[in-house]
Amino acid sequence: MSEGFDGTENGGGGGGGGVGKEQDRFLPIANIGRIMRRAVPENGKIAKDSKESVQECVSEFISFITSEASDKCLKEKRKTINGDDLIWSMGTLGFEDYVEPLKLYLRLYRETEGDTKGSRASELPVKKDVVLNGDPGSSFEGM
Amino acid sequence: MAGKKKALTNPASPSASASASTPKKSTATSKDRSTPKPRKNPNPKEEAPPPPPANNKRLNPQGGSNRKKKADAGTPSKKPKRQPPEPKPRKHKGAKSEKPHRVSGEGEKPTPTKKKKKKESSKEPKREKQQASAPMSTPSKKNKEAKRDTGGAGKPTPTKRKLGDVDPPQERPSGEGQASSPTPAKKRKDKAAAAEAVADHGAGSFPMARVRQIMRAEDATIRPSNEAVFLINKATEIFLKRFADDAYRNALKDRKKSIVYDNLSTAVCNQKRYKFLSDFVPQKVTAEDALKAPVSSQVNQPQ
Repeated sequence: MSEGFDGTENGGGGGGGGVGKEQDRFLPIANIGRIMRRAVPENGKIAKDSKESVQECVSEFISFITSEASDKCLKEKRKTINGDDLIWSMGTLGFEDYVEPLKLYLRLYRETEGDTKGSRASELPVKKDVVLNGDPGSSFEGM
Repeated sequence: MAGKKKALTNPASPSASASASTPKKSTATSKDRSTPKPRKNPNPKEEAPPPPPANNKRLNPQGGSNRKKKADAGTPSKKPKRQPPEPKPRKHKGAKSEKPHRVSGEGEKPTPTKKKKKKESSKEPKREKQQASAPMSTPSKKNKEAKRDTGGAGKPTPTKRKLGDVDPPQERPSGEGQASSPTPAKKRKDKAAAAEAVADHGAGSFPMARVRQIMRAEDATIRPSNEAVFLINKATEIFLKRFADDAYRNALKDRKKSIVYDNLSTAVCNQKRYKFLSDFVPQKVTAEDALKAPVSSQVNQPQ
């Protein structure tokens, strides 16, 4: 799959389309520059070539973590990567200090997802109860 | 000074200036008479001085421009002295232009308007300093206040919640205060909205679709869940902050304040955790060293 992807890039190298596909593999450089600026003091500066290098490094980091998590999922015969798999892969690959903040983010995310799902679920059962209560009543009346 | 110049240029001007000044005084006295007595007693000193500065302000913009031009043509030495007072009347003009609208809307008496002009003119430089320091903060507050004032009773509440999502720390308490009076179901919704705001703020660092695309670049069989994409997004942000911090430390060691490629490569070489980036951020080597290295390796291999 990766070979075909590279082939399309090489094929479209003459036009502008190849450049667009090349850039699609990386995260936006503006976002990267913004986050780097937060880490650096106000008087500090970031060269353009270093931003481009970091852009590539960040994409490699994502692939690195994802590949480890996907290997774990394949061993466990699962096809979907969860947040827990990623946290496990972070700890395995030497990013142990990322684990605690990421667990916190994951808990927050699941709480928000649970709240949204819970609000939808709380609306649906009420309607179902009304329907269920209506059907047996009508059946009893018929009987 | 302006009166003396008039006397020099026009012989009939002193009488005109005197006649012009007298009716203004009479108007001031009539205004004082119209105002109630308790206002006169607490601030007798404040009411007496306002007419002369007001007159000066009115005289300066009308005839000041022509006179200054003449003075500039005749006496070039007085230019630097008269340049600094120019911005002051502009500020007062702006203040005057702003305040009559407010006064007409409020329908107050003319005497308090003069007092307000004084007070607000004294406050204006402070406001301008604040705007210079933080220009983005003040207009946003004004817009929020305007939205609150214009909105009706029922419909503006969802808009406030949306605004609360954008600025969580400032407007969450107000949202909670509003939700406290109605049923507890609304409280739950507000809490959910606040939690979603936290999640959305975190998600704003990188585009989710692009992160998912990078995750699926190697294997199309990979199916990352939404929470996995969110976590990778946050992990990438943390990684980027730490990596930039390490690179900046290396820059400071070289007594530089800008992050260059060399700082990144040294950070990758120095720490084990960045070992996977060694192929992507290799250290720069001179041509001589690059040529020597393969020769030595070739010599070692046959032996």
